[in-house]
Amino acid sequence: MIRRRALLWLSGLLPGLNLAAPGHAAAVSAPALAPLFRRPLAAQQLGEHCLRTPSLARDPALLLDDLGSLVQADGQVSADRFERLRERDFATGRIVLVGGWVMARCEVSACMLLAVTAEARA
Amino acid sequence: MIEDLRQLPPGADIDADLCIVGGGAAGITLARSLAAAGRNCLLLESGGLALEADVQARSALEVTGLGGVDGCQLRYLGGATNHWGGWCRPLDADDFARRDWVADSGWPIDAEALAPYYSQAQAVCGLPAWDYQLENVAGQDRDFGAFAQSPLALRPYQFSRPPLRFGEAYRDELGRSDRVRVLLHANVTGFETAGGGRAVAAVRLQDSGLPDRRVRARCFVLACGGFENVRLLLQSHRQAGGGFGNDRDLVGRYFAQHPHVSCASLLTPQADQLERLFSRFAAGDLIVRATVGAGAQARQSQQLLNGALTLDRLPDPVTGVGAARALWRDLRNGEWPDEFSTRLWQVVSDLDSFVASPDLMAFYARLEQAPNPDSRILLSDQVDAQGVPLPRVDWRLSAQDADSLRALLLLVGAEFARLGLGRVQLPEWLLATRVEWPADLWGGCHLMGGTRMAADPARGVVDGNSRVHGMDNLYLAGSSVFPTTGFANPTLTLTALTLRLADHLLAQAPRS
Repeated sequence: MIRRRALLWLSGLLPGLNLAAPGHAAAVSAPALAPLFRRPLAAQQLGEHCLRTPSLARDPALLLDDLGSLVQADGQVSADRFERLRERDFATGRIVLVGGWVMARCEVSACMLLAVTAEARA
Repeated sequence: MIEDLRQLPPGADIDADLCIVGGGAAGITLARSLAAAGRNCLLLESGGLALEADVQARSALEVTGLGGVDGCQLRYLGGATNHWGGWCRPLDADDFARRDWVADSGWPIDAEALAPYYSQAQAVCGLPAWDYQLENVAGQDRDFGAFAQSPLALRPYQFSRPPLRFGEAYRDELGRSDRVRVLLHANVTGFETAGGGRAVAAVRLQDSGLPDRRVRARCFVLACGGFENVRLLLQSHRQAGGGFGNDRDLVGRYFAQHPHVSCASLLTPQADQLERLFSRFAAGDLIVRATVGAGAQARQSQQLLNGALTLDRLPDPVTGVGAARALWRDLRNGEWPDEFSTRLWQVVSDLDSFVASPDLMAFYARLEQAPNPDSRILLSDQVDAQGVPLPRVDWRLSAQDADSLRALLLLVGAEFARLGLGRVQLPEWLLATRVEWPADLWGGCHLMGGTRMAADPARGVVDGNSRVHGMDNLYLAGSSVFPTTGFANPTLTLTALTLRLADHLLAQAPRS
């Protein structure tokens, strides 16, 4: 249910990522977030963990709302923008604890997004 | 002069102008200050010139609260300075203020009132120069500029190096003095009152195998440490009914220490640089160590207690960062711990583009404790060899203490990540809904608060001049009068307060 809600929301927010509504999972392409991580699979699995964590996944929109600004016109994600977003998150206290590690909300959001889209592709 | 009561012939009562009970940092400082101004005093020390088992046994405790309170007192000339670490730093200005988010906060004096005494205390504690601005003492080879625009505060300690043992350092001076009479093995066990209970007429001395004596004086100052000041006042309650300064049941309450605890790990690609910044270094005559904590503005906006973190390469072993350490060890050994931990670590490493091997460091917290009336010292049913009840110590921390530490670590974690200095991991125990403090928690032997200072007798035991409320001639010296504690080790502040007390006493009666 959480993933479904997230997908619904993401499809509206991030058209550049070519996310389809639930039920059309095959149409979802891999988002361009993967290059942010040297090990995208690890990030995806971390995202899966976060989606299973009630305190993090209670309102996916809240966590994912930052990522819209990352997407460029060509649908790719700007690493520079991600870096700025991350810095802003840390400077303004928009942080999330995952396994006790202090992470920026946008970092967690990116991991969750990877997990959601992988789920949709599956 | 220095005399030993055990060597004196049995005799009559002893008379003095001003009697100081306790020969630690406060007692010695007060005696020296008064003598320098031409005032005679008698300094009673329950021990001798070195540790003696039978004397030290009087410092036994009954502990009913958190641990980490044993072994703090030393009963011989110099008191706890015989084992202190020499860490010195003044309280911050806002430590003296009333803060809306800290119940029962606020001193009856402000930082300005203590400022002139701090610089004198600096010399008394064996420190070369008064400078607690890190940018002044860091030198050009340590660049803390990365933190310049940060909400964090970098506040340095100075070190009395080697730690000044007051008993050794000032023994010859006391021995030569014709104004100070030091009486060793003078164990005070109670009071006699006059003036309808508003004045102390005498203190009673009791020692094994010796006849009891009394010391009469015009003025008394208890300076025997955070436990003993309380113990003697509570003992007076048993003897006199009502006791001194305890009309409002405040004696022994608000007992506080500085919680010291390993509290977070830092995964960093810059361990060498950080170790250089945050380990002890010499700056001219000074030995300095930087701490990191929330700046005054952040403390106010986030309603934090004061606190500071030191940072070290991960010692072995450290409670509270064990999980991170185990993870790091496993990864280095090519072993894979549970999948989630591994993935998490990989992602955290990736996000900060760690190209070389990151290293683990550990944050160690030194915290202000929120004033807590339920954290207290009582009298035990157990007694010492003279039949005096032992202190029963029920040291307690509150949810506010844990919440404030957690918030501090989140702030530090966010800032270190923002500055590219690494990633902070909070320990599991601190994330629990109800925090159970770990086994390595201790209070630093900073025994504070049991006879707190307040202008209003309803809120404290002593007034702004350290005089016991309701008593004409009884004063307290030492960290037991601190109403709030800041995070800085107490010796420098209690020395400064004692110098201020000396000025007050001299103003009352300038010369003997």
